[in-house]
Formats: sequence, C-alpha cells, structure tokens
Amino acid sequence: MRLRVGVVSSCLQVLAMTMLLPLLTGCLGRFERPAVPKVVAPPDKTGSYTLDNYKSDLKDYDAATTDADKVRLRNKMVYGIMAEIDYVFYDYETKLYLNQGTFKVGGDFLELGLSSASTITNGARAKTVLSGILSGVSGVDLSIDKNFFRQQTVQAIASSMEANRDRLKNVILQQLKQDSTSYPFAAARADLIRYFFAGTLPSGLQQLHQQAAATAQTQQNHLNQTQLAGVTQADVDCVTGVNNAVASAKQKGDFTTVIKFLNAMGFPIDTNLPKDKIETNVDTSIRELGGKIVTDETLRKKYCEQAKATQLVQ
Amino acid sequence: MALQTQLVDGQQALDAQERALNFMEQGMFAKVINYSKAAQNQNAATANEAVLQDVPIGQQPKPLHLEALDVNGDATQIINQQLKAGKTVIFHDIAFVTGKEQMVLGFR
Repeated sequence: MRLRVGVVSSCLQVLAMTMLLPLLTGCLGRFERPAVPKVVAPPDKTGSYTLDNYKSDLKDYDAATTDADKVRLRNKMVYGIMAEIDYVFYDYETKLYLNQGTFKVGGDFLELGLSSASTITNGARAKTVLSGILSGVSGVDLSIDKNFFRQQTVQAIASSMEANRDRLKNVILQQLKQDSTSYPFAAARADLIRYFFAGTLPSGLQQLHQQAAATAQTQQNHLNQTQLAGVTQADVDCVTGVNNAVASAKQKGDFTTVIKFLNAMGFPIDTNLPKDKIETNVDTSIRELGGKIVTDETLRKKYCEQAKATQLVQ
Repeated sequence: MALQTQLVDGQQALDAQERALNFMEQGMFAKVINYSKAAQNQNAATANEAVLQDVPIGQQPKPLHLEALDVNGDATQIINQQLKAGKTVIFHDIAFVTGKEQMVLGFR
C-alpha cells in the first residue's frame, strides 16, 4: 500500500512538473515585466502614433488656416508623440533595473550610458515616430567623471530621469493651453526632444551631478560663513586706514602704493595694462581681499602688517 | 551694487558686534543695510546675519553705531536721542546680543 502511494505521489509530481514547465518557461520569458496587453500595444500598431500619422498630421498642421485647427493638430501630435516616448522610456527603465548588476561591474556600463539615446530608440516603436522627431538631433553629451557614475545606483539615476521627465512634461502640458502662435508645433517639438532626452542615462546622471554640485556648494557656503568675532579696535583702525588710503589713491589717480600692498598680499596687479583697467583690477582685488580678512584671522593680521610695511598706512 | 551676507557671532556683547560690522564695512568697501538673527542651523544657533551692499571706493558712509533694548521695549527714546545727535536709523530688527534675543538698532 505504501509503495502504491509512493508511486502515485511520484507520478503526480512528474505530471505536475510536466504541466508547470511550459508555464514556468513562459514566466521566465516575461520575467522583466508582465506581458503588455495587446490593446495597449497591438502587434499591428493599431492606436500607436506612427511616423505616417505624424507626417500626415504635420502636413495638415502646416496647411491649417485657423488657430483652432492648428491647436487641435498640435495637441494631437504632442500627445501622440508623448505616449510613444513614455512607452519606450518605461520599457527602457525596466531593462535598466534588470541590468543593474551589470552596471556595477564597471567597464561596459559606461558605454551603455553614452549610447543610451540609441539604446532607448532601438525598439520597433522608436523607429517610427521618434525617429521622425529626433532626426538630426544628437544625444546629450556626457562629461561626468566615471567614478561619479559608478557611485550612483540605478534607482537614483532612474529617479533623476523620472523627475526630469515630470518637470518637462508639466512644462509641455502647460504650454498646450496657449494658442498656436505663442506655442507653435516647432516649439512643442523642441520641448518633446528635451522630454525624450530627459529619460536617458546621460540626462539622469547630469541631473544627479548638478544636484551633487549644488549640495557641495551649499555646504561650502555654510563653511565659508564663519561667524565674525574678536575684532579689536586696532583691526577697525587698520582697515579704516587702508580704506581711506585706497580712496585717496583713487582720487589722485595713483595706485602705486596700493598695488605694492596688493602684490605683498598675493593679489598681483599687471601695471602694463591701461589705466582704467588697472583701476578696475585694483577695485576688484581690494574688495576680494577685504572679504577674505573677515573670515581669516591670520590674513587679517598680515593685512595690517603689510599695510604698514608698504607704507599704505602709517 | 552687489549684496553679500556675513555671519557675526551673536554671543558677543553689543560693542564687539559694532566693531565687527564696522570692520566688515571698511574692509569690504561696503555698508550694512540690514542686521538680524540668522536662520538657525547647527552651525549658527546664535548667529546674526549682516547684509552688506558694496559702495564705490571713496564713498564709504560714516561708521555704524548699535543700540539694543528688550525685544518688546520702546525704542522711541533711543531713536530720538540718536536723531538729535544727527544720526539716522539704518535698521532695526531682532538679533542676538550675548546670546539673547534683543531689538538691535543701527544708526549712522
């Protein structure tokens, strides 16, 4: 009895496996995403905005004589193209997540980033209307340090791309409220190109890079904001003396001593330049130096010493 | 003319802050046009922020003089005294003096 139960159980397992295998392989084939419903992306491209649709609409748009017709056709083209861009973007984003392990390896992922514009347009859809609006447009130049790229996660880049796209989509949708004179299709096309490239790796990276740079700058500004303290009356007298001496030199048109002082402080002035240029350079340098002594006590001390040593002040 | 901001240590007494402002004005060839407590953050719990505007060289205004009173105090008397002395109000705002909030008035 036990043996029979065991045989039946084994048979059931084999049967189950045999029945599940095609399903499993089918699932593996669709692992990156669920199958796109045929009504969304029919094989015969019904409902898609094709290059032929675009050409036809563009011709009608150019021939349209009323603003109402132009606006209608412009909006139709914009929404159609936008849908195609969205489709290829989300398709691309899915692949980006699936391949993120490869990215971390280094080496070839950078090439993927650099050629992302072509990567994103590789799909059959992209060769339709997108090739129409993107003809003659090159991708975004990527001038980002490789190390910076390697430090980014796919999630961060994707979020950056999404944010960029959302921002531009909002701009386009707002602009569609305008008439065809204020926002002609040519302007919409330019915005759509920007919208498309906002969803590329270089754009996502560039945005991240700019954010990182802005954050660093803010932090630098906070560091620079040393709280001024410990200023003595002698310090005030010293800078007042320099201020008066520079004003006097300007009135006389003779900056010789001021230039000597600035040279001693590491702000060389080229005396071979025309007089007005020298005056401008002195003005810029003395202000810049003044800004530095506010936060740098050592420089403040040297400032007063050199002002005396160069006989700018007594 | 360009505007710049600079933090001043609000833990200092009023006379020290007055020297700090005059030092900045003379050194940076600028004039203070506003002075108040800075937006608080970890680095500046009791900092004051001066807003400076560049002035042309040779047109430096007279030195600043600071007066302080309680946040809800009446500034009338102080202002009248300074007006009698030929000075005008440049700014009046809440700022830190020896680490405590006070109404600070700037005259020149």
